[in-house]
Amino acid sequence: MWARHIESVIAVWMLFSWLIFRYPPELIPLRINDLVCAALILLFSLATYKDRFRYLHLLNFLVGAWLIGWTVYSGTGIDFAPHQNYMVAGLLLLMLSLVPSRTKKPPMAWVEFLSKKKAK
Amino acid sequence: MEKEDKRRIDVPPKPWDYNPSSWKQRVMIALVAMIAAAIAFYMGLFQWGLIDDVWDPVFGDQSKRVLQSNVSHALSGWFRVPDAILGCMAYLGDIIFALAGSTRRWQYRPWLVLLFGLDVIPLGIVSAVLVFLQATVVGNWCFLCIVTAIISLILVAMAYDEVYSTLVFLYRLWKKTGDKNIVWKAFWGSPSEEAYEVGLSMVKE
Repeated sequence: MWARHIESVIAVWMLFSWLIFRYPPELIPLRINDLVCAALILLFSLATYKDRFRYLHLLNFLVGAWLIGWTVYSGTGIDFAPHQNYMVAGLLLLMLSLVPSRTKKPPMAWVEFLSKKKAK
Repeated sequence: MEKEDKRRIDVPPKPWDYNPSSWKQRVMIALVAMIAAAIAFYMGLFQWGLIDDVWDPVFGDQSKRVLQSNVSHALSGWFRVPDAILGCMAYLGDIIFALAGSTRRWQYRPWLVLLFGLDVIPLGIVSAVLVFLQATVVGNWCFLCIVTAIISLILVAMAYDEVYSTLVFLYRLWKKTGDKNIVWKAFWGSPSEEAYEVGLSMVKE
């Protein structure tokens, strides 16, 4: 679950980004985007704890892609801190979202397969 | 998972005398990548303008010229992020994918090992190419860039064995079954009798 924990930390970071990077007051869309993305990341990461939603963390890949897409579309340079924050958070999310939740153990399907083998 | 089960999955696949998916091996890769990530981040701080200077005990100011070169600016323009930060992200990817998966992931999660290999191996090659560009295009050298390039090549050497085992596993499964569906499912971590037997034939228990 460590990948989900780091995703949650990224969500909290996104939540406070407007304070850390001192967004100018006119950047309301950026603040809203931060808030929505943070909420989605938290939702997708925490919901994964429920077995029924165990693959939901994969949706964080889309949030990461959205953050990168936002920066690319806006066309700002590397000196605009809020968008650099989006790039770094987005790239991390792309990678973390692919990590399975119970990653130390073999996939459930293999565990069940091996248990059946052992029982025979 | 029982202790006995853990021992059963932590076994060396042929031709190795060690398990390339073992924690010892992968934590070592993560530690080496962490050093490279820290160095790349430090250079990224300079490219972001958050620090004024870059430490270079060998080439002096040449490092700054490399990090502010046209090649570097072009890369930053394409990727919308300083190239050193992009390198840092790639090393963090090495850490993330090195630490994910069980000690038999070469068989149980081939997609994860190949993703890890895709992150490590091309990164090593790109680092070496960028160092080559320093000398030929930029005309300057950057000590820390060379250090990270060497680390990248070390990471390639440390990671290739696991990627090799995964590719051998998938190849043998393909040779045994000739069934794309079974190989595709095994790639994504779904078990089958054939995948189990191929895995068994590869380990020295």
